[in-house]
Amino acid sequence: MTELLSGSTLVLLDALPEAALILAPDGCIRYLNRAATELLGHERSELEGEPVSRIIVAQSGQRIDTVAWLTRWAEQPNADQLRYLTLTGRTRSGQHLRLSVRVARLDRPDRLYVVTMRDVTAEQREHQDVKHAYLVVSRILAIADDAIVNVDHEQRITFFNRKAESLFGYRAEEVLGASLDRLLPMRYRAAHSGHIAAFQRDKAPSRLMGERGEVAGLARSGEEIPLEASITKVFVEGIPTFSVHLRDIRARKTAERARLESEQRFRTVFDHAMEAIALLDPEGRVLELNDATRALLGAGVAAVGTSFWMLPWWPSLTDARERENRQRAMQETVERCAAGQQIRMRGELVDAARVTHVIDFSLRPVRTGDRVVAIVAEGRDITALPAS
Amino acid sequence: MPRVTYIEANGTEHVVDVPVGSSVMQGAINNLIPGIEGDCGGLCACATCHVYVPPEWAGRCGEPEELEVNILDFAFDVKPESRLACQIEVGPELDGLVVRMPMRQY
Repeated sequence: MTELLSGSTLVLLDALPEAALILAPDGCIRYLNRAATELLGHERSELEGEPVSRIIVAQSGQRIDTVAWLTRWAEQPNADQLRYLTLTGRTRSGQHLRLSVRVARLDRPDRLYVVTMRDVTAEQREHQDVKHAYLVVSRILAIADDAIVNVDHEQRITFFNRKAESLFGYRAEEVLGASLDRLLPMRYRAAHSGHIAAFQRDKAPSRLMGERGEVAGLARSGEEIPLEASITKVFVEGIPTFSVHLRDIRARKTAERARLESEQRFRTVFDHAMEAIALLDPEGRVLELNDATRALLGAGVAAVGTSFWMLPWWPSLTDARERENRQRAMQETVERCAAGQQIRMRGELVDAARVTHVIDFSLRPVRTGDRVVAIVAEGRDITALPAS
Repeated sequence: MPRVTYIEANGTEHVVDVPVGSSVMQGAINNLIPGIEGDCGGLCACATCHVYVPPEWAGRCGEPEELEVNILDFAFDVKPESRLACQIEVGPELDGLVVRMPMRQY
């Protein structure tokens, strides 16, 4: 060994924390330091004189010729990136390691190489795990049904998923790095950064946006889109990233409007009918009354929720027992209808002014399948109807 | 924008639009396509963006330079149609390109 390297150089090599080999130009191992023997589990004597391919191996499917590469790198002192490569090492027990390998040629006539190796197996696996986790999460976010837009602390867009692309009409690469303002209607721009700053200081980690009003986005087409939005913040090394999840509520708004309009139309018909109409639940409680019914009962009667027979049908009746009898009779009629029977009868009501009204009265069960889910009560004042 | 189809070793196909001027590797990374790693960031130094380019597209992808051919030594299951995706620049002539990914990049 003395002819190979001086004693002090060997001491230095053995003291290195990094595994190091000295190779002859033909790829034979001339020396390995203490760290290398520990890394590979070999005695020094087992490897000296052996080809380096015993410890740096090609994996199956790889066509790399290790010795050719090591010598090629060593001869390219300026091609730095080529001299830092990850190769596969094999320990004495046959275990494979991922090694970050560097090589340099010593300035000597015998053209020896120094190869240093760092075990990056765990580091690389960890890196791979992080990459895989990132890939999985990113793909989930990419196809999420909500538009997801991330912004940095300067409100520059840093993430823009597929739904955001279709919602706003921009491709991710067109808006990445741009200000969030681009996605906001003009009138919100000035105030919005203040909201974000306030949220940054807020102790809540996430929050529904627009608690003080509607949230809207501005699409490329110029269309304003009503949105439901929630925001969350993540601080990495003190710097916040905001993630905003947006849901297009145009369809919901349209449906809401349609429902309101339909409700209004129904109400108009209901309240302008000549018949007194009431909708009851199967227990006979009033769900809805129309204006004609209110007129019959006298204005100001709070009827909804009251049992139908408990409404003031007989305002001029003073005999309590008689009233109870009539209420019971009406209750029984409602119960028969709730059991499925359709009822039609002629009745008389005496109003507060003691005027007698002749009423054509009906109760009809409303069924869903076999079950009675509601009762429609109708009454038409036929007092003034001329006899045919 | 040229449309590129990336086919994973398991047969899953990803069809994406890749801007002119970026590399086939970058197109995969930006679209979160598994099977292409691109560890060195496109410097032709790591062989982790190895793809197979079908012969009918090989001509339009240009000839690989010596460095790329050398670095392919580190890739797995190299075939005559092997390329490094970072060395293929996307242009209008590559609209419709199909590349297949190998079983492994490490």
